[in-house]
Amino acid sequence: MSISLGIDTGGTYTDAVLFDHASNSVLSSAKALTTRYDLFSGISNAITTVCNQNKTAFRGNEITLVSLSTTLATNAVTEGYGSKVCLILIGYNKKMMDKYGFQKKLETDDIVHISGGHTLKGDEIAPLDEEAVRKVILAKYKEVEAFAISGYFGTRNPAHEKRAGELAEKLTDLPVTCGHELTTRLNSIQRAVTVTLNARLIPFLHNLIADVERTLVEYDIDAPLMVVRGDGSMVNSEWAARHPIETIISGPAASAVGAAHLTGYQDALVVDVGGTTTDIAFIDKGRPRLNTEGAFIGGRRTLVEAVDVHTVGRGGDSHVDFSRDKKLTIGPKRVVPLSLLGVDHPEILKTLRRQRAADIWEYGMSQFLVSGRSLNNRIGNEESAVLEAIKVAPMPLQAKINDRDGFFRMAAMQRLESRGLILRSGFTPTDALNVLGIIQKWNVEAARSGAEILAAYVGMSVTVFCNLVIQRVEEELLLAILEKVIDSPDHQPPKAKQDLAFYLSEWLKSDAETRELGCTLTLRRPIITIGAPVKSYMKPVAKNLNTNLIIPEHAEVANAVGAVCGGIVQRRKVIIGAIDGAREYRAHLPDGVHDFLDLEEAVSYVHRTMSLYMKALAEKAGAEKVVVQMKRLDHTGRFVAGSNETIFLDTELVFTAAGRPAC
Amino acid sequence: MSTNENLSRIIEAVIKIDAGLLDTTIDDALQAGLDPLMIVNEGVTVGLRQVGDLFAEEEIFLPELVQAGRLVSKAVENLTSAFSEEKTIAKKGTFLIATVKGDVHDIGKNLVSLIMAASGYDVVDLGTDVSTDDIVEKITELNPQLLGLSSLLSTTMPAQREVIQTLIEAGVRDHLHVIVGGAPVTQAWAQEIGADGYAENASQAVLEADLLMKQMTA
Repeated sequence: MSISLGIDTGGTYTDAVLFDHASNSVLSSAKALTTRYDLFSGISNAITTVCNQNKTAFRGNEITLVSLSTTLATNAVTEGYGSKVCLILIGYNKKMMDKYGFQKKLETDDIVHISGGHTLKGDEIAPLDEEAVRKVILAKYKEVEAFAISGYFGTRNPAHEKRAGELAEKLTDLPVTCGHELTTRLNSIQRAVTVTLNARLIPFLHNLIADVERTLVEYDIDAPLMVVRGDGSMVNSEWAARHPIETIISGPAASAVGAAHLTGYQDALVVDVGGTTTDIAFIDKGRPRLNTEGAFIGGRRTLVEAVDVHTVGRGGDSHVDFSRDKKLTIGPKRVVPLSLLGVDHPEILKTLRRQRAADIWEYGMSQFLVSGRSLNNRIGNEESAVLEAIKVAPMPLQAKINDRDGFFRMAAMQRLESRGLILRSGFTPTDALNVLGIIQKWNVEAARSGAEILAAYVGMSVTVFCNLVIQRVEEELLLAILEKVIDSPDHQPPKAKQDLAFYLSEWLKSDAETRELGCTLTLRRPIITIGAPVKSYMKPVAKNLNTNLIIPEHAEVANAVGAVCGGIVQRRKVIIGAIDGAREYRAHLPDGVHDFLDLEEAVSYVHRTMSLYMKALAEKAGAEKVVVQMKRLDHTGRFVAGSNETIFLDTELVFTAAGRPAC
Repeated sequence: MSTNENLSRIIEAVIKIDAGLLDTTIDDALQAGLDPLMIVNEGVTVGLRQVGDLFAEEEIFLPELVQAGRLVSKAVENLTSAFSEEKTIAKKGTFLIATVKGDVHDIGKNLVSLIMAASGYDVVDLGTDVSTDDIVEKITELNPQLLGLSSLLSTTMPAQREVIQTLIEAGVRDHLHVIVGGAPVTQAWAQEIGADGYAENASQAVLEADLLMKQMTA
C-alpha cells in the first residue's frame, strides 16, 4: 500500500489527509485550527487526529510520503518578520538606486556594495573585489543570521555571486543565498528583494521542518518529508529549508492541484472558498497556471514562480457588518462565527438575547472579543485591562465601547486585534447558512440571535436578511471570478478590466427580462469549487456563467490532497544571445557563459549539458524517474513592414524536469 | 474674432511656414486675451503636427519641415519667456532621446527632438552613437518620463532591445516609457522588444508621447 500524508496550513484551518495513491482515494481526513503564531501546534494537532482516526487501518510505517504546504513564508513576507540578513550587492549602480529610492525596498538595512558585476552579455564590468567580500563577511557574520548575495546581471553570468557565496560558506557557517539560485530573470532590484526575503526565512522554515519531523518520528512514520512550493510542485525538506521563498502562495497552489487531481479535469477554474479568503486559479493541462511576472505578495513583487492566484478577502468567516449608511458589508475582516463561539461559550446567548430585547441600536451589538494568541511582550495599561477582562469569557463589544472611556478602550482593542492578541467574534456568512438551515454546525441558536439583532437594525425579517448575506457573498465571488477571467484588453490600464468586470456583474445581477439588450456570459471551462461549505455560494455563480460546477468528494480537504499530488518539478531557462555583431552566439548557462560559432551547435550543447544538470537538480529536490523536456523559443525581430527579413534576437530554452518523489 | 478663429489663423500661419504671419496672428490672439498656454497647445503645436503629417504624406520636403519646426520653437520660446515671470508654462515631461550605439544617423532623431520640444516637452538630446551605459547614466541624472531610441540600420536595432533589457535589470523599466523609431522599425518590432510606443514619424512621436503620459497619470 502506498499511503501519503498531506498537510495544508491555511489561514483558518490546518487540514491533514491520508491519501491512497493506488485507489486514488482519501482514507481519512482531519481539520485543526491553524495556530497562526505557532504553526507547528496546529500541524501537530491535525497529524494526531488524522493518524488516530484510522489506527486500525494502517501502521505508521505504511506511510511512504509526507508533504506539507505551509503559510509560514506567506505570513512572514506579508507581516514583515524574519531574521537579520546582510545583503551583499555586487556591481550594482548605487547612484541610480539612491536616485530612485530602491534601497528602501530591499527588506534589510544591512546593505553592502562590492565592486564587480557583469553586462547584459555576461562580460565582466569590473573584477570581483574578493578582498572586500572577505572583509564584509568577517565583519558581519557575528551580527547577522544569514547572507544574501546578488550580482548585477548575475543571471547572465553567475561567476561573481558564486565566488562570493563560496567565500561566505568557507568563512562562516551561516546560510547563504545567491540570486541565480532562485531565478533566471532580469531585474537586479527584484532579485535583491527575493534573495533577501529568502535568506531571512531560512531559520524559520528550518525550525518548522525540524518540529514536524520530530512529530513524524513519534508516530513511527519513516517517510521523506516534502514541502509544497508556490507552483504546486514538491521539494524535499532540505531543498525547502534552503529556498523557503519558493514556498510562498503554496496553499492556493496545493488547492488547485488537489482540485484537478480529485476531479480528473485538466483545464478548469478552481475556486477555493476558505474561512478568511477565496482563492481563484486556473488549471491548464492539469497544472496550476503560473504568474509570468513573478509572485506579488504583501505589496512586493518577487521573482518567484508561483501560481497566478486572485485572492479576495471574502470567505465563510468574513465579518457581516453595516456601514454608517446602513449598507451591508461583508469582509475583508475575518471573525470567529457566532455559532462557533457559542460552542465553548453558550453564555453569549444570554447577552445576544438581551441586546435583541433592547430597543436601541448601538455599534458593537452582536460582536464579542475573545482571547487570541498568548502574550509574550509588554503592553500598555488600557490593553492589559482589556486582556484581563476577556480571560475567562467573551466580552460583549457593545458594552465596552459606548461608555465614557469607550473611545480609549476601542483604540486599545484595535491595537490588540492587529497584533492577534485578541480576536473578534461576530456574524458571518457561515452563521447565515446555519440560520437558513443549509448547514447545521455548532451553536445554531447563537447564529440566530445574532441574525435577529442585525435584521432588526435594517428592518428585515431574519430569513430575508440571511438570504441577502448569502446573495451578497455570491455577488462578490462572481465579481472576483469575472475580474480574473476577463482577458486584459491590449494597451488598456488594469482599471479598464476591473470596470468591465464590475459592469458585467451589475448586468447579471439585474433582472435580464427587463433589459432591452440581453447579456449571456459563458465561461469556457468548468468551475471546480472546494472548501466548505461551497455549494450554496457557488451554484448560482456557475449558473450565471453558464458553466458546470464540479464539487469533488472530499472538497473540504482538496488542499491537503494537493499537497501530496503535485509531483516534483524544476524549471530553468537558458538564453542564447548574439555577440560580436551576430557573428557568434553566447549561451548563458548555470556554470557561466559559453561561446559558439553556430546557433544549432550552441542549442545542442545546451540541450546536452542542461539535461544532465536538470536531472541532477530534480533528484536533489527529492525526485526519481526524472523526465527532462526542452521547449525552444526563437526570438526574432522583423523590420520594414512586409519584408521577410528578420533579425536574430535570442533563443530561449526552457527546461522542465519532472519526477515523482523518491520513497 | 472668436477664440477658434484666432487659433485657426495661427495654425494656418504655421502650415504656410510664414514667420511674419505667425507673429501677427499670435499678437492678435494675445490682444484678444487668449491664454499663451492655449496658443501654444491648441495653436502652434497643432499646426506643426499638421506640417509633420504633410511631410509624412510627402506633400512637403524635409527643409520645409525643419523650417516649420524652428519657427514654432521660436514662437513657443517667445510665448513662454514673455510670461515666465508671472506664470510658467508647465512642461509636459522630460524626454530623453538618443540614436543607439553604432548608429550615427541623426536627421530623424533631430526632427523628433524639435517637434517634441515645440510640443511642450523638456527635450534632452544625447546625440548619436550613444552607449547603453551613457543612456543609463543620463536617466539616473534626469529621471525622465520618456525615452526615445532611434536607429536607422537593421544592424543597430538590437541595441534598442539591449537598452530596454538593461533598464529592466537596473529596476527602472517601470519608471519611464520607451518609444522606438527609425526607418526600419515597425510596430511589431516595438512589441517584440518590449517598448511602450512606436512612432513612424515625428508628429506621431508627439501623439504617442502624449498618450503614454496620459496613461502614466491615470
